[in-house]
Amino acid sequence: MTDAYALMGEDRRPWLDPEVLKRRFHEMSGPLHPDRHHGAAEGEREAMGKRYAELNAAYSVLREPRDRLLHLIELETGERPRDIQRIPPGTMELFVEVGQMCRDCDGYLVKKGGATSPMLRLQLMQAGLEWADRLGELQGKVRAVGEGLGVELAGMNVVWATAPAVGEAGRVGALPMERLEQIYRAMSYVSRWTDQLQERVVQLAM
Amino acid sequence: MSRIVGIDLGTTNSLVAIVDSGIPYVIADPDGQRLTPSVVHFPAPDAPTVVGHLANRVRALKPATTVYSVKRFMGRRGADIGREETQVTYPVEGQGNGPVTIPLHGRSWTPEQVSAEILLKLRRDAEASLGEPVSRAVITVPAYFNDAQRNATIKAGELAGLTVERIVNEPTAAALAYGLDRLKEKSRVAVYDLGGGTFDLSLLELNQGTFQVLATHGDTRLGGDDIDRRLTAFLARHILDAGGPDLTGEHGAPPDITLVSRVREAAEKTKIRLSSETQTEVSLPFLTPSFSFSRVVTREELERISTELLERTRAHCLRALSDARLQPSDLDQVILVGGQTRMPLVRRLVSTWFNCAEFEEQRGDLRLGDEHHRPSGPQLNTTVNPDEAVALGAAIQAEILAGGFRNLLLLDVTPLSLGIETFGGLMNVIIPRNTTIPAKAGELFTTAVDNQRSMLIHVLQGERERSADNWSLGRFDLEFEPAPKGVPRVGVQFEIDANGVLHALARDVKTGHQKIVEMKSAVDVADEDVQRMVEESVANAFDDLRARQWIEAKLRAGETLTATRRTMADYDAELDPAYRVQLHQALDEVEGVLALENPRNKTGDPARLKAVTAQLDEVTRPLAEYAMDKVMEAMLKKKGLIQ
Repeated sequence: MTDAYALMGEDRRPWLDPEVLKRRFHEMSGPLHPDRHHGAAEGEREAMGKRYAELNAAYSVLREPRDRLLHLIELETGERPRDIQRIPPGTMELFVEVGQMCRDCDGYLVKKGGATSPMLRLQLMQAGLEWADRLGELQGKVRAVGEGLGVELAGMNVVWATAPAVGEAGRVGALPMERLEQIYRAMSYVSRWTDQLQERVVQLAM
Repeated sequence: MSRIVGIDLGTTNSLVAIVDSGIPYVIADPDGQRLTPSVVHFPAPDAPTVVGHLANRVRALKPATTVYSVKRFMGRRGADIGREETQVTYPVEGQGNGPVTIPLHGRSWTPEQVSAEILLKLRRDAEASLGEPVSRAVITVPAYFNDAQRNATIKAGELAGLTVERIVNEPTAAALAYGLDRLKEKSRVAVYDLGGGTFDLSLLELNQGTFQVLATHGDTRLGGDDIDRRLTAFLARHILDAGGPDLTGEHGAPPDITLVSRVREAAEKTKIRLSSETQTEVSLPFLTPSFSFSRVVTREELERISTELLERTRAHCLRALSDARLQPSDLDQVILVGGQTRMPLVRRLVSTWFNCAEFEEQRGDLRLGDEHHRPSGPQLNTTVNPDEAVALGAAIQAEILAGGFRNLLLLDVTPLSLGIETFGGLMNVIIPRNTTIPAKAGELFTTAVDNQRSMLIHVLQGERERSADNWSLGRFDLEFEPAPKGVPRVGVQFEIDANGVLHALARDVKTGHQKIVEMKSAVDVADEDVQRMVEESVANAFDDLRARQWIEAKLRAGETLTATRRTMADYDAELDPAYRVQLHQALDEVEGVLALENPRNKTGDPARLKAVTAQLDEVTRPLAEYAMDKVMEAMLKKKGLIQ
């Protein structure tokens, strides 16, 4: 497996500053991008194209916190986390709330989709404004959970910095892998909820 | 080696540009014209074609042999072409999965061949101006073009004797033209690109010379042409009402295309004039020997028939913002590109949607200026020449490929997700939309039964969950060495190159043997859509259509009556007495038709009921707008945004 951290010259750790990472991607893109080798011989052009695609893939993995954690877990333990459908502790309430909100909002959206006359649309407008408010509020809650997880990840960086080096004995034992996996799962839910709520916000605005 | 030119191959107009000593400019033809209408006239069998301004001039006289807006048909199958779209004045053929063709003078022309005629003219113009042969080009396409449409564009270039060095997305090209003088800056921009036939919204981040596309969304079948068509229909109705010929095409025989062409031409000119004037007179003398038509069309009328079309672009703006996880307030500029963005209504709508700063709107007595559009919003940028920005950007990209502009780099994305069909007819995404290109992704396949020799892989592009709802890029057979099930391993690598075009490569993991996969184009595959449509139409035949229509119309009429009465009661004190009478009359009309229901079979005249309900809708529109403003005002007050 390609080590995306190594490819981008980053130390292995759970939290990465998105702005710093982006700058690094742009710097590395400059010399590698196919546009810069358009006039080169075909073999060289292909090789550069391949390297750029790898860089691109590495950046995609590291940019998304959820994908980055999955990658980190695989790198450290040599395997993917088991596929378990368990709701992470402390998020059950939000899980129910998001599901309920989406279902109710969909009901409203169906009604709104069927309303074509000015009078019927007027009747639904007030409700639409209220839905937008409620969705916004819940989005805020979900965002706060995500940010909380981010802060916790940033706090873990120091453990990675002080753990035994890659390949040395006791590395995995020194790392909080269990908690990392929990955060990974929670982040998966947060990103799914964010998408679900955002989709309703978009539809509501149409 | 020849220099590389940049070409904007547009629905309505095409341009060619080049960079000279670091400055991009549009190349004019020998007559000094920079814009070449994308119109091709075919005078006679085997006679050379007429392209551009000359063709545009004969368009109204020879509508059946003059091809325009051919870009709409590029890379598309017969089954995808809507009825409305085939309403062009030249013949268009294409059924099911067959490609679209244009039969003229006993020969079948493909959209690629017609486009090649336009490209050839641009190539000749560039050669005449530069004084040297031109054989290489960068050509732009709408960002939301799919694989087949991109390949068709490359094909058109090749037919015109051009090596297509790169396909660039139009809004991205426009952003390059905009950003060339701002290489030191760091900013986020939206490019709203509404051309003759296509719409794109792209969000980009400019970061010290790196232009990174964050998200793109669009509709390849929405543009200024559609407004022309609606205005033509509007004029046709008024021509009929004034006792003129029936050009509506709604009753019986198809109308005379020469006349329709004249009306269309007048409609397009009227639309353009109404961007600078608030009203203009449409005059069509001697439409028939005994009938002349003349009528004043106001900007308000044009806006009323265009609003719904333009509102459709809003969904794409919202989705792109959502994909990029941005709010309008995160943007610095909204750049308007494409001729249609000259329309004041477009500017007004875009300003509202993006909360543009320095923009004010008046709704009734309510000024939605400073408070509603907070000054933190992006600036609406109309300083870029909407016709030329794309071509200039193409020339800049051409220069980058030629080794110039070393401080500038463009990172574009693929607009549509790429995936393969899995069990149950679902699409499994392999490269998600808005992934930076060039991109690669692999998938490992194995066999399900002993000694299985091959497997059919179906490649899809699109955002829908069901594979049948997505665009089929093609299918290929994946071959295995005979072995017990689950033992063979073949990796398939999907690559989207810098042009946004797909390549697939299969590699036997055990032997390392590689093979470029030849994809069977989607054209010869059975079309589920057509099948489904046929089945549905059969099922519907057994329904009692009229009864069902009556029930639906009655339900809607009932809801509208209740809502109208309630709103009238809410705003009773504010209603003008004359308007109140008008409202009551419209209500009575609906009640009257409802009362005519046959008590035995519970059926009435659905067409009449729909007509009177539509009339009620028309009458209640001002009331609804007034009430919506009141509701909005109340909400803003509640949030403390206004006093």
